[in-house]
Amino acid sequence: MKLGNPKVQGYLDNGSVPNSNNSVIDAALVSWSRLQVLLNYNINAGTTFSTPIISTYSLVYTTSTSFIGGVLAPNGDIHFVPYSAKVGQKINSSGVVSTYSLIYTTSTPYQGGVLAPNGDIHFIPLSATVGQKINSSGVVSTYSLIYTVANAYIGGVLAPNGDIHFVPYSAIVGQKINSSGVVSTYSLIYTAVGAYAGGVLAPNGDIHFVPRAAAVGQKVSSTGVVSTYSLIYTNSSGAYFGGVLDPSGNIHFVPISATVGQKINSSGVVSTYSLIYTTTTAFSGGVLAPNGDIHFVPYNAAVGQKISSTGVVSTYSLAYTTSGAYIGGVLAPNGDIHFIPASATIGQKINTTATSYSLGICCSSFFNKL
Amino acid sequence: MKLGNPIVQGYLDNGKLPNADDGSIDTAMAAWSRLQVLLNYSINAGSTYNTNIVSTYSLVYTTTNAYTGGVIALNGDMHFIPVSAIVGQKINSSGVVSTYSLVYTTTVAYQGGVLNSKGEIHFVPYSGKYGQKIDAAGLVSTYSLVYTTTSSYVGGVLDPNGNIHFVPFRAVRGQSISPTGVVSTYALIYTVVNAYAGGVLAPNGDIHFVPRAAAVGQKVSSTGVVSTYSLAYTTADAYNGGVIAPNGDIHFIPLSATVGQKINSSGVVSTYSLVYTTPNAYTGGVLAPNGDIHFAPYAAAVGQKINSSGVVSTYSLIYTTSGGGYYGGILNSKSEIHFVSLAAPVGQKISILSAAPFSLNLCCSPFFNKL
Repeated sequence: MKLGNPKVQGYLDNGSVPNSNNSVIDAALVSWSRLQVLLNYNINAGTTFSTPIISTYSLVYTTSTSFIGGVLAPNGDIHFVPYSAKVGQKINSSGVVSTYSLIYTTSTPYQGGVLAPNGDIHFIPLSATVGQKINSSGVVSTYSLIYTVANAYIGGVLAPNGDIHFVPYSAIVGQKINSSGVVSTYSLIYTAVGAYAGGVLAPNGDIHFVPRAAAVGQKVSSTGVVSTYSLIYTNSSGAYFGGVLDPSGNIHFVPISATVGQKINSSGVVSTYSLIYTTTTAFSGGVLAPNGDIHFVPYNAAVGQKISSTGVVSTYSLAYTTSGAYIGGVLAPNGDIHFIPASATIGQKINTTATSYSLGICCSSFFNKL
Repeated sequence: MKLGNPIVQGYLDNGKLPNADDGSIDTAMAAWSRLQVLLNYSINAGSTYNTNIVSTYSLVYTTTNAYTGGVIALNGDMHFIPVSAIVGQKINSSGVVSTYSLVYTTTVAYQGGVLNSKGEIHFVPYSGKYGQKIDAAGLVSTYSLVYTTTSSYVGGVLDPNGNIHFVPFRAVRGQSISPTGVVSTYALIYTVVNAYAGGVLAPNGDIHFVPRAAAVGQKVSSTGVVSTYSLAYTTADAYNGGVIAPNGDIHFIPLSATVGQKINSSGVVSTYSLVYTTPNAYTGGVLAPNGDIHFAPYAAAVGQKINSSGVVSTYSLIYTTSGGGYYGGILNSKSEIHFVSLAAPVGQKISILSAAPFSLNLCCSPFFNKL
């Protein structure tokens, strides 16, 4: 990691976050390279302690598998995405937890969410028969979907043109909603039961689906071209769940039951790496911390696990663990990483960094989704 | 726009916010040029989307002609200035809206406010017979004014020496308050009914009054010299409030004007086309961290902004009314612009999602923090 910022014609490049919705995220990685300047600033700023500061807090509403995935709203609220929960739940920038009414609840309706350019947070339909969103004024509404089936989609990603793509779990077609609210479907190359869970926006604007039971990787380019690629490690009973983009441009798949880590770099090269702690259904979802660490979110894991910006994997103690504890996480502008409570009865967060991302970076489509 | 910060004699110029009250803001604009580095840093850092996220929220107190203009306090609270409201109202940095008691209220009491170096927010007397302020501890108090009349002043500006100047609307004398609280008046060159509404601190320390019905521009230098200059466009109810752009241009906010008007740091006045105009369209404006200047919608049916490259565009709002919804706006350190509710029953804000929001101190600078 180089220190400091690059000079360009006698001026310092302080970096820039690209707009997430007007196709400025380019295949040549120019916009990504400028975002990297901002990311590297935070990595170089260091951390207060060598281990994360972990704390817990009370929740208003808990139940088994209550929420799966979370999204940061434009006002700094973190919304938990309802799975078995009958109400929405959020935590504001002051740490106040509150709930709100939903319009549509059923058994296992949504998993994961995405922030749209107009400030709407869309919940991703797993078994829901309607889409559901909450706007920046706090108004909850539903909308029609074209394709619905049980266990359809898990997680979503905002494409560089402003479309929100749902990630196919067992769905046999892709589905997206554009910035005008128009829902459409498109063909996939590879489908399977429980194929993918979560997605990641790559530096070149491709959306990668994270392989859960899939035998091949699959992605959608910024022009809508779907393609597949070979993976090194696959597990038909569940390899990875959720993914995270690191400051170097690697996409890390988060090991749910995989025995090795797996990533794909910005040139498309897939590789694996050793993990310290593995178990069945260990982690679900992950978050990039401002210091460059990627934290895996503990589902059944007894310890936290992270990989640093230099590739060092390490574990750390958590304040609270239980079966099916958390799925997905969100980085707040104060540097806190909040784990989203699935069956956990208390909230849990970690903080590591000397500097933090601004709200504008935290909300970037590269980071703000399951 | 060049990338990042300039490198001066081999060292990086990270920019600097000048003290607002000790004469640091100089006529040679050296202080301004260093402040520009900070502004350009935020512009270059970008924002999550190229569109604005508009949302509304509940207010505690609303009424017809409730508040006009707003000011952010040193603790991050955004205060609405009571025109006919019988309570003060503020929003804290967590978005919690609350009210507080005032000492003096009357119909059309104040319009606009100014933060001084003590952390006091002074309400600018419109038809109010007393000055009124709220200090950094939240204590509200009143004080005597030298000159009062009906519809006397609209908006105010902190000059580089720490004096608060009220902008003459129907007043025939200027009026200022020193850092120690001494109120005094001074002669103006040009006065007329509804002459000026709102003011802007220029890069060289001059205070420009924004021409509403005035036929000429008028300004007060940092040494107290009053002078006038020609405008390119004038009409009744032309402009209301002004905003300084990162390049030093002062933009007058179009109330009923059919063209935009600005004066650059060399004193050159020019006009530019607007996308949307209507009578009583906008009152006051706010500079966003990405360089956009947003006009606060009074009777306008759409939002309107001009970016740092001079491109004017409009965008949809959630709440609008032809009867006068909002009056002025406030930028906070979360890169949110809050429009101040005049008669609107809901608050409305624009979330910029800047990658480098202005710090609270920058938001509080007299270049930006006033009607």
